[in-house]
Amino acid sequence: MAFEKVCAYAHLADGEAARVDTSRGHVTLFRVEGEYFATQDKCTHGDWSLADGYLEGDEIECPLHGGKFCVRTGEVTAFPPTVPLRTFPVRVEGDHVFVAVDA
Amino acid sequence: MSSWPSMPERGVVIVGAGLAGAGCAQALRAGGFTAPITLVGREPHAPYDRPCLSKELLAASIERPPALVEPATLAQAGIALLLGEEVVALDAKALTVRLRSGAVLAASHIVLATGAGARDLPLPGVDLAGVHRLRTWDDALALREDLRPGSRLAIIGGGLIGCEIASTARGLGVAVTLLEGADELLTRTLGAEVGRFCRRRLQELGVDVRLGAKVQAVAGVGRVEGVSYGDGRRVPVDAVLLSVGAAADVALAVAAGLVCDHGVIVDACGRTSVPGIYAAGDVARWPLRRGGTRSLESYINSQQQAAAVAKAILAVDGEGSPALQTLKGWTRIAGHHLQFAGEPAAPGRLVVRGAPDMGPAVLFRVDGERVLGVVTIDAPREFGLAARLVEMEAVDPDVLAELGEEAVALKTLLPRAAVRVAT
Repeated sequence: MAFEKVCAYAHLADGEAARVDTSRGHVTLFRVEGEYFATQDKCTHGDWSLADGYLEGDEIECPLHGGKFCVRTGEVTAFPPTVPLRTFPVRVEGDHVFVAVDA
Repeated sequence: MSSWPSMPERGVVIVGAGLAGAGCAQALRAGGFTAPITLVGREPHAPYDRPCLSKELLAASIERPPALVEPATLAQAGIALLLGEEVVALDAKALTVRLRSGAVLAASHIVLATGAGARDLPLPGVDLAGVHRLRTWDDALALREDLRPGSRLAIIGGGLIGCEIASTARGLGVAVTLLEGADELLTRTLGAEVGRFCRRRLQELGVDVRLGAKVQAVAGVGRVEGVSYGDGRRVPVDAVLLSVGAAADVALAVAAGLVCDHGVIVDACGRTSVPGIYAAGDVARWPLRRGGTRSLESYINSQQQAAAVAKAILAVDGEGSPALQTLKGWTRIAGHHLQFAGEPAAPGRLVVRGAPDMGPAVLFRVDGERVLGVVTIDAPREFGLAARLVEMEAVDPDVLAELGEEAVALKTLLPRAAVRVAT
């Protein structure tokens, strides 16, 4: 598992999401109560980045159709998506956030 | 009927296997409900997703609607799925339902998720061949048969379904005439301003929109040939779509003595007038935040209602978790993605961000300190924030004053929007 640096720890505030580049394309990062989580960038249903969605606790709402996922596990918590999100391991080292996209 | 033991454990019987029914069954299991769950669906199909019926499925860009849940997943969760089956009677006192096949199921709780059918117009000719309604997968396939390049379709009713299908039909090369009785499209759901936006976009696609067109009759011999409206004007057609709204499927509930009013009356957790019986989705007449009740007829609302009913059934202490008491939904018209929340068509002033004539745009309906509703056009990122402003009871006056200032991001307004409680 190779971790790569994606952003500074301070890049997001709690409750925010952002799309970041990795060697294998985009992922979306979420910050929930100081903790970072990473999932695939696009919703498994509509063609849209979840970084534009509304994050409430650890649940991200897709901006297009209101589908919801748990950002910790990727599981679907509201239709229309039925396929879970891919999630990626995240590590915080020093002032930076690292994601393992090959996991 | 021997598949039911003589003394089965009573569980939840859910009448209707659409979004609300299937969603409720899954939410019950996810919440730890262990007793039997039976999901009864009138259609022969396992639970499927409906928003595509007027769009991708009708355009044949997909072969079948996406499954809401695979039958195997339901089976694994111990949810019995009875398809092509119908509940023909409901005994509200005994909490039993009788199926068309004759079997009687005894329940601890019954959930009515029977949905709604297309509202009919009391007009001559609406039963002719070639006159369509769109509520189900089979409806969509039947309509698709009649949408051939160069064929002529008249759509009666310029609401969401009418406008969506006008868009799809133009994409298929069909000549479309859209007949709306009011003086603008979509006035009831999205408001006249957004209605005008959609009308112009549809007209650019070549849809012949006729406003103030009160339909008098559908005519034809054996098969539909024309629609007459107004003072004797006539549109020659090959097919007709009737899309003048929905009628909640309340027959069972009415016969069982539940309190109904064009829908089953429920509280904000989906409890009907009879203990042990619940309703969710299009059949339920939901209490609204600003008073009154209505069937919200939207995907997001139906799903939340199903979850609320599941929580009410699971609640040991009698408390529930109310579902949203405002409308929330989306539509796709003439290639534009529109999202809406609250009451965008209510009276009040309009506060606009962006370019409402072209999109992207955010259109708020404001009255006093309340943001009554919002429609976003091609602005999904803004919608999540805008909808939360609508869901607030009242909005801080300073924030209201900045609502139309595009230099101030909605993201920065939202945290300041809650009205400070006077001390």
